[in-house]
Amino acid sequence: MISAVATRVRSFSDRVGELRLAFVASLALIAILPDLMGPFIASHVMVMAIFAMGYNIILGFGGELSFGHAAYFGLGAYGVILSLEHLFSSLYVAIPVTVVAVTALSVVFGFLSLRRRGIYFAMITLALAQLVYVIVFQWADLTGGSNGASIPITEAQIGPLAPMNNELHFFFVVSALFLLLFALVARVVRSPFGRVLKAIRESEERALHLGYDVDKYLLLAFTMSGAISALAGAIYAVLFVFISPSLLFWQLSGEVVIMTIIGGIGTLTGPLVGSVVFIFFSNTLTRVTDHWEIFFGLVIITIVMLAPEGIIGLLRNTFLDENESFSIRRLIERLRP
Amino acid sequence: MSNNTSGKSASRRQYLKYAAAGSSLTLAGCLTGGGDGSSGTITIGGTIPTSGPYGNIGQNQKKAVELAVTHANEDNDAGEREVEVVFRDTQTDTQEATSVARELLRQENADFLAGNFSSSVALAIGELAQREDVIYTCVGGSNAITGAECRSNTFNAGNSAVMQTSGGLRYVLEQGLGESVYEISADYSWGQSIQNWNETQIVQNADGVEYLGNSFVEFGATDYSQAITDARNSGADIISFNLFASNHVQSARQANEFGLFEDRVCVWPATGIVEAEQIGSEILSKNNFYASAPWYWQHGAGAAKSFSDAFKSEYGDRPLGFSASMYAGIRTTLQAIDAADGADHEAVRDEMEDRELFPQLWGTGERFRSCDHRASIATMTVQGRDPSEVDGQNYYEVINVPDDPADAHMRTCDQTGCSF
Amino acid sequence: MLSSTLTSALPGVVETLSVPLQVDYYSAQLFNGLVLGMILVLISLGLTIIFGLLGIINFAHGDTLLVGTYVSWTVIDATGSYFLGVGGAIVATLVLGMLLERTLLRYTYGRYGALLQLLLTFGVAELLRGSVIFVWGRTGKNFSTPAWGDSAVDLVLFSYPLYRVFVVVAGTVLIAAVYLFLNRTDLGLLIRAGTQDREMVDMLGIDVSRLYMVVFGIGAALAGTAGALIGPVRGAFPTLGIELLIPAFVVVVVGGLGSFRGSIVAGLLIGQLQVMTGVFYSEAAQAIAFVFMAVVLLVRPDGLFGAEVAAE
Repeated sequence: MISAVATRVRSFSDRVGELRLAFVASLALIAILPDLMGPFIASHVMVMAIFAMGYNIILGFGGELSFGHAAYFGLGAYGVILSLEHLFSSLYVAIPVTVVAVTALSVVFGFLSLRRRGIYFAMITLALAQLVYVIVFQWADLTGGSNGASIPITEAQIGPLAPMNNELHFFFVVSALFLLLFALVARVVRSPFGRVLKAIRESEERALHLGYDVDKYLLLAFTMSGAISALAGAIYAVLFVFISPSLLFWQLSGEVVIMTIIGGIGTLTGPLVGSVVFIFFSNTLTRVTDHWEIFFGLVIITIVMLAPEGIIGLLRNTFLDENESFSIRRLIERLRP
Repeated sequence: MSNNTSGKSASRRQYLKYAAAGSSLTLAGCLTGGGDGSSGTITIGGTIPTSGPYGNIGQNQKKAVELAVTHANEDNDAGEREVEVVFRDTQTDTQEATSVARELLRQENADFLAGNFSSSVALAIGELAQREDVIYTCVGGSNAITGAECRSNTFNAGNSAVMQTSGGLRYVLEQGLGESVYEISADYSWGQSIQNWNETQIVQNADGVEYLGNSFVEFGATDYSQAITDARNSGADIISFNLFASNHVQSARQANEFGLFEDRVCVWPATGIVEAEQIGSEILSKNNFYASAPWYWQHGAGAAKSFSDAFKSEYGDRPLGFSASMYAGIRTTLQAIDAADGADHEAVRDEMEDRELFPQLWGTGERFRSCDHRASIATMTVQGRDPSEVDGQNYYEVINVPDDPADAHMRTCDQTGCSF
Repeated sequence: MLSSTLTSALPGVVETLSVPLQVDYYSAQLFNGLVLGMILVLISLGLTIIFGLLGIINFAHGDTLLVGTYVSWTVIDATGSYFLGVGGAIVATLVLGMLLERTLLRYTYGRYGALLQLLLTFGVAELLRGSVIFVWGRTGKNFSTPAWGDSAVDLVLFSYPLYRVFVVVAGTVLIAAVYLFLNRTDLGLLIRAGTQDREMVDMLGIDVSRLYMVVFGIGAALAGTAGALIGPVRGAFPTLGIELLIPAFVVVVVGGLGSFRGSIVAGLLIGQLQVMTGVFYSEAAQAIAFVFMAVVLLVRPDGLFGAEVAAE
């Protein structure tokens, strides 16, 4: 049975190419989400999927573990709220301005962090992000401090859709945005830039010998990843309306790592699958048991021990050629201090 | 997975169905403004943290809400309407709280929201209730809730930071227990509220009392040795620890370690059974330990005793102060709904303003003040009992209950900066 | 009197400057910094030893400490003896550590990179904390100071809680013991050799697998000891471990990952830095450790004593 399906999927995959297959599968998954979880949680999943997709650029394609991406996500959320409060009246001006500003910060932070690799890189990103958290928390006059902040009510009509007032409309908009970014990231990964990134991921030394300015490539990847994270944070603020400084805390940085790994790092569909599974689990567990930490811990341990290549990796194992599926595991093994 | 194409077209139909359902939903929401409440059932959306750092306090408050619903149905608080409650866990996080509150309104069709004791969460749900046109009955100490950021749909059945510190610092100053004050304050809205009020009002208005300074401690800090050294070095007679829950516990223990109780009066602005259990009566019974309690189960009022006994026989332990506030807040709201003949927020609001709380757990005619919607409850002052006297949960002895809290211990309506 | 008039005249400015120039005051604050620093060092020791030999960043270290705190609380509650409590914590966490190594981490060597090992320990941390909550509840426990330490002791310039003085002494003894263990025992020398060059130990024909188990157990037991010592200072509550873990990470990274000397110096330094920042500019007290870490890593990329490790 499985092998028959596997053959069909393989031939389909050969015919349309894995990228298209991934795109179609993502589309199908997105299509059933509102039915599965209701429009609000489905929208939450899509926002986190965008965040994880951005994060995956530095972890999965760049091969560096950042432990501080909550900073860009959180600043995206605060940025859109503050700029709506003080600067602009239109959401569609506030979001791009915020993303540009946070991206500029990610250039600076990326430059500082990328002076080191491996665990040290992870720790510098963590330190810088905690610094941002403390500043946002302390600067209560501007950010509301521990009280958090809420997005001002604005008209944000796009044609017939009112994403600020209707969760299903929001879901349509965020899904469209996700697919657009999906296509964009797919393009980047296959561009000459993406190929160099891949070479760096495989062996930084060799890439250096070939004359590539490794730091510059990684900085570009880091910046892209920061920009997409900021965008995800900005639309998160629109969806949730209320945000608090916990959005910038290291715990969220850890969660995005877990989401990306559950899905499968370095894959295009992994972040989406990972955020579906993660949010489903965290929502369900806190509902059904008072002791969700135990189950959450067990889930993480099980995934790491049995399926470190993530769900997409497992699917590839089952359906595709062996040497394809092994690339994720090879990638994972390379990530050592 | 194999039939992608058919799945896709089915999903498109699904989208259309959803879009239609979604838009009709918003339309319905616009017309009626939340549930209508005249249908014979009143659904309370209970937003209480039952896990996370304050989960234990939340569990107790949740029981009080359940008890309020039972009693309301027995006594027909909401007239002929059947009262029910649906709970969601806020985890004391503003994001989580507002998203579950929205769920309660959208999916459970809650007629009004109730519950919680965290200031920042109360502010966030209050803002949501304002946007969604429903009443929110809460407990929350920060002055901002019934001050500059007050929202007309929010009614606060708990005491404010100002009232809390009145039962503590103000009381010990009135008793003439010292002539100089130093503060250690948690660096977030609630702690800042108290710190500021102590410095600019309570100490200013006390004759011959000197204000020696304040140390802010970070949110989440658990070691206060540096701030305690500052406080001791200031030479102050009285130290006000503006710290809440587990921080209250930690600071009381550390004050004892550093020997502060020996020659200084130490006051905390909000204490309760949970804190008392963790601090331990050895420390609580020190002569120089003073604290204020929003309500304590050994309060003398008749309604207080019957509420506390009913709670104890139902759940086996005693209600906390925040639970008492919530119990009275909910029953009062339900009576207002009956008087307004439905849950429409404007009608209920009119009924709640200046309404006496029911039951009178403080026994001083406490009511929801109409200018800021804060309940005029009487914050009491407590001291710890000697370990040998402790039996059950009677950790504290109530040493003072103000007669008329409205005049003496609340901000005036002008001072709040809120006016409905 | 003068200071109070000044304070009322210039509230904002004077408040930050009005630190009394008193020797006893500053020495008391320095001692506060020492206590905090010693606590950080105690937590970092186990992290350092585990990282040094196994190359694992152990996210479960904080919650192993938590297990130690709660076990010691339980033993003290049952027997009334503080030292039995510390002993109980050591035994429990030693066994826990060896068990974790045997059942989980062992299967990750060579196969998985640091990322997955880190994630695995992240999962273990959740599991441990969940189990602690399951057994002891979400509410904290009243962890009393042992009777002999429940008074203030006169340290000439200032008086100080005796138990905190004991923590400093016990920490110093523990550091010395670990130092002697690493330098004077065969096992210790092996660990040091392994930290310098893991492959060489392999080639010596040592049973590396058992060595790893023992070292992970010792690292966990150090966390457990720290947990028992910290209990009376901080109390026992479920988030104690996470709260202490991040500062401990900062310490081991600043000191240089895997460097024994580094984590001691960095721990004591950061303790002082945090308290002194609190004294002079409390708004920055929380951020200072992170700023310090970022600066150190940018100036000395391998941490203060990182060269010791980078010798490979």
